[in-house]
Amino acid sequence: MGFGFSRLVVRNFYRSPLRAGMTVMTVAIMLAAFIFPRALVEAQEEQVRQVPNDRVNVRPKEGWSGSLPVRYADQIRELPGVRRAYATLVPALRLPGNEKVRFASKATDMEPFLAMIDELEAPEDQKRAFLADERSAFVDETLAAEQGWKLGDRVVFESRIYPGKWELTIACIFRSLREGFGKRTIWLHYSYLNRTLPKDKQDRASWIVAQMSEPNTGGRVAQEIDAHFDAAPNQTLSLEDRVAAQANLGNFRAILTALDVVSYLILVVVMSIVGNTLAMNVRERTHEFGVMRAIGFAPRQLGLLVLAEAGLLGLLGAAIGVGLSYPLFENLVSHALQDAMSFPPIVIHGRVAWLAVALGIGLSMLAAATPVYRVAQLRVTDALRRMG
Amino acid sequence: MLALLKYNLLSLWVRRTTTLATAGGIALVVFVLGASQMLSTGMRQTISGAGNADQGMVLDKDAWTEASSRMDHAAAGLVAAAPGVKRNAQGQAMVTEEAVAHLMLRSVLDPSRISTLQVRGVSANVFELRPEARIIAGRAIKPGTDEALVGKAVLGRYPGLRMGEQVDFSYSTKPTVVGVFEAAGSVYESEIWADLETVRRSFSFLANVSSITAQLESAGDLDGFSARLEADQQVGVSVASESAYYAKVSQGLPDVIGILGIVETLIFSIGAVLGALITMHASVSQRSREIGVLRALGFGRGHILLSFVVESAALGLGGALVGAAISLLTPLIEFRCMNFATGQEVAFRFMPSFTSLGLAVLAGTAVGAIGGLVPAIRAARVSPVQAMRA
Repeated sequence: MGFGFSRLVVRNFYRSPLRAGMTVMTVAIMLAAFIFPRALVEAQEEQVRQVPNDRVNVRPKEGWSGSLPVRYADQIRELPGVRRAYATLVPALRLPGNEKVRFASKATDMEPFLAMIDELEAPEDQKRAFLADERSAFVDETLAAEQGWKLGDRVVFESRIYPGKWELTIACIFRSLREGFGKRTIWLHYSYLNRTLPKDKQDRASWIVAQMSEPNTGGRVAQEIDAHFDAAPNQTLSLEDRVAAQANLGNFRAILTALDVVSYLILVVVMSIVGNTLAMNVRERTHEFGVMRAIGFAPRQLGLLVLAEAGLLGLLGAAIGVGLSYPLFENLVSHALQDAMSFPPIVIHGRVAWLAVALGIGLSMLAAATPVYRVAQLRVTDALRRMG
Repeated sequence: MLALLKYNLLSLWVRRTTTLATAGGIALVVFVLGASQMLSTGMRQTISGAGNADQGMVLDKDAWTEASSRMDHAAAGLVAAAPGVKRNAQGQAMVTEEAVAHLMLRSVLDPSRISTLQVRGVSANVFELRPEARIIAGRAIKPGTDEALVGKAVLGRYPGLRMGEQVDFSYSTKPTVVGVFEAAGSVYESEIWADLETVRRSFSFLANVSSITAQLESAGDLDGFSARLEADQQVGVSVASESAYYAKVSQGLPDVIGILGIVETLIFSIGAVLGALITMHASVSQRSREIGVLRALGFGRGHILLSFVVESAALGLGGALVGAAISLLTPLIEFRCMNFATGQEVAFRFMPSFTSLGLAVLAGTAVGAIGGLVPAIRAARVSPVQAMRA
């Protein structure tokens, strides 16, 4: 068989190129449609997977709109089981007069922060320079590249919630090693920001992050922290970072599940279309199959022929579909959503692309099951009797 | 013409398997469109159903939602004295103060899921001001005690939310559940209610409350009521009718669902149209002899074209009706999701609407017709002599 066989498979494509072409295009479009919701779900789940297991997030009990006294960070550091802690205040910075450029800003105790957060990578000398200069900024590389900021540049910022301006020197540009963390974010020194705030807004923190001495003890420590501050006017809500990330995911769990279901339904449609096409092909070639049987082809060989055709359809469709997805979703749709709804950028992981290819080929072959069975069952005389 | 259509419809029956496969794809299109529109409508209904036009809601000036609003509860006196406030049979002003906060609880049914539920600290007269709410099990809270009421939609789904159990508000405060309430299917049913003081103590309210709601004589009194309160510089509040507030927080999520639904429908439609195209194309090729006979009998090109389009439209209609019927099963499902605008998790329902279902069926029929258009043109061009010779 071998070479002759594969020639047969490919040649059969050309017998009705229109139908084969339409089927391939349909599979391509539907697989691209499968990739979109899958990529969204994957991205969310990947973020949760990458959260370190030795941190606790301490926030104001009343929610994000409240704040905690910054001295809580000192008290938390003293608790058993806690190795380090840092407080963060969100100044909601923006570029003067420019509402369009969106980025996050956080004012933090930078020494414990840099010691704890190893998922932000930057050269040591830059980190040292940043720690030495109170009026400097620690900037995400994507943001810096987009705004054309270089080391040593002085950039002026305003705040959406506090009066005044802040001039920061770009002292360190970092790369984030953790999905979704630090993207488009600027860090500055808490001490500098705090000094420049109006009296009634000073010494507050939006949240505090504590690092455990031992991993996976976060649950117990979180409870201790909440118990410690329960009697105080500003109560805390502490969650292990992992748990907090899951909670965020849980908010949209229903929507993500719905998208998941949709992506599987799409696969069902792919199967039905491919199956339909193959069934039509087989029906039309019954007479030919009869001839092939008569000259000596075994039923199994004919079945394999049809199966191989199905696989080829699936492969071509998947290749085109995946090829379409990258420019379409990672560029076009992603930018549109970012601009319209401040969506995080859409990334298609290799995992998702390979899944689409595997499913494209696998499901096409699965859809061929009935036609293949029919072909293998053909009785030579019946087949020869059929005219077209 | 009718005889021709009979032939077309019979052809669908003869090719049952492919007809079913194609109709199945169209059924899916209609289902996705119908279900997403029904969910979007249901969401809007659930959220805005909580608001009355003749009640004024007073919040802190800069607050966007109740849960993020904090104002000194001394403002209650001011609100009671404002014009337009209704008085009850005892002559008291119908005004109620509430403290609204968020509580994160781990789901009992799915331990990997953590939900943010809204907790409402209510005053003794809450049922007077919120007539849509009524107790369906147990009793109301005794004012001044650590007791809680659980909304019907969250009963039993989270730890502590059952009659007699304790809800974990904070380290030192764990109120006992004494009753269950329902509220006409509105967002209140996804909330936990407790005594005002209990909530203030557990959620760092200090001397503040979130909202003060007043029953007005009529919806028309809102302007006078609102003007008097907003003019007071010392207190710094914003006033809106309750229905306006809930209309505001019903934006966002339903729109996102609606858009996602349409995007997915378009995607499925492409698949369905192409599927119909492939099927009808093959069908026409196989039936060229039959078409030749029809032409020889005298049926014109126009009639053939029309009849084939009707055939594929009928295919679309059949699939669409099945899809619509299945989408009518969705009201049996509850869809729990966070309402982005307020940050609380709410149980939503799918709300059937004849307009949206009707439009979805129309869309499905159109998909069938569009898919069959090009093959129909091909059918019309079949030359009778050549076809019969083949």
